[in-house]
Amino acid sequence: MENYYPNTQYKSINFILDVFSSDIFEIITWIRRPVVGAVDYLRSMRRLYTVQNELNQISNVDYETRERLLNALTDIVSINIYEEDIGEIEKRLEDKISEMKDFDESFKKLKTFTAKLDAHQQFEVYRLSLIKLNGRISSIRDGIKSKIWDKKENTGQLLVLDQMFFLIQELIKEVIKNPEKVEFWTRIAVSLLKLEAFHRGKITFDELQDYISELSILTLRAESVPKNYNVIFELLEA
Amino acid sequence: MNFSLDTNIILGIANDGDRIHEMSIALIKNKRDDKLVLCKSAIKESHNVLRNRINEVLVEIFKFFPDIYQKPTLSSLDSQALIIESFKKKKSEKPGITNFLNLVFHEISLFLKTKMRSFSS
Repeated sequence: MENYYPNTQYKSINFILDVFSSDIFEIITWIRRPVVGAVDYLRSMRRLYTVQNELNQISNVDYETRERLLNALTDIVSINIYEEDIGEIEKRLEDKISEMKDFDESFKKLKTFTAKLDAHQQFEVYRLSLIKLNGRISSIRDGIKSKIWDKKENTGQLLVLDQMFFLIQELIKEVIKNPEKVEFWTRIAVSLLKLEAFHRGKITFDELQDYISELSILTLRAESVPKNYNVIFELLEA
Repeated sequence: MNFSLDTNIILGIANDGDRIHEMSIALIKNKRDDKLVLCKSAIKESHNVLRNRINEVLVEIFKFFPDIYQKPTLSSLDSQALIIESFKKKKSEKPGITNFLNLVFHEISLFLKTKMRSFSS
C-alpha cells in the first residue's frame, strides 16, 4: 500500500477498508459494469464465451493496475458532490476509465455486450449483480460488527463506517426496484469511491460525515428506509 | 409569509427530550399558516449533529452493554435494572448529552421489550 497516505488516526476504519480492499474494488467494477457480477447467469445463458476474456481481464487485474484505477477514480470524487453534479460525475468516471489503457477495451466491450442483451436479460444481469453486491456489503458490515464490541477499537469510527455501508445498501435496494435510475448507480459508485478516497487520505473524516448526511437525505427522499428499521439495532443484534 | 428554521429548532422538534422541544413545537404551531422553507444546508447540519450525538451515546452504550450481557447469571430483569443504572450514571457523567441519552434509552427500551430474549442469548 505504498501509494496510500491514510488518515492515521482512523485505525479502526482503515483496518476494515484494508482487509476488504479487494472486495471494494470488485464491487466498484460490478457497479460500473454489472455483467462482471453476473458471470454465472451469462454461463447459464450460454453467452459467457463472448466476453470471457474481458471478464477475466477485469477479475484478474494485478495490484498495481487496480491501485492506478482506484487512485484515478477517487480523485474525481474527492470534492463536494451535489445532486445536480451527478450526471457530470458519471461522465468524468467513464472518461477516466476510457483513459486507462489496461481497461478501456474491456470496459467498452462489456458495455456494448450489455446493451445488446434483450430487456429481460439486462434486467436479470442488473438484478443478480445488485443482489451479489448487497451480499458483499453485508459481509463487510459483519466484519465491522465483529470489531465494534472490541474495547480496543474506536466504536465511534466504526459506527460512522457502518452507517455509510447501511446507506449504500439503501441505495442498492432502490436500484433493485428501479434499475433504470442511472443517477442511483452513479451514487453507489461515488459512495464507494468516497470511502476509498477517505482511505487514501484524500478527504477528511468531517467530509466523509458530511457526505453521509447528504446520502441520508437522498435515501430518505426515496422513501427507502422502512419503518421500525434502524441501523443501531442491527449493530446491537450483532 | 415564508419562514425558515435553524438547526437547533429542527433538532428541538425532532427530539422530544430536548430542552427546547416544547418551545420549538409552539413555534411551528404559531407558523402553521405560513410557508416553511428549509435550506438543505440546515437539514444536512441537523442530520450531522443528530447523528454525531446519537453516535456519541452509542459509543457509551457499547462500553457497558457487553459487561451486562456477558454475565450469564443475570436475569432479564436484573439486566434491565443494570441498563437503567448505567444510563443514569452516564447522564450524571455527561450532562451535555442527557437529551440524547434519553432519546436513545427510549428507543432501546422499546427494542429490548421485544428482543430481550434473543439478544441476551
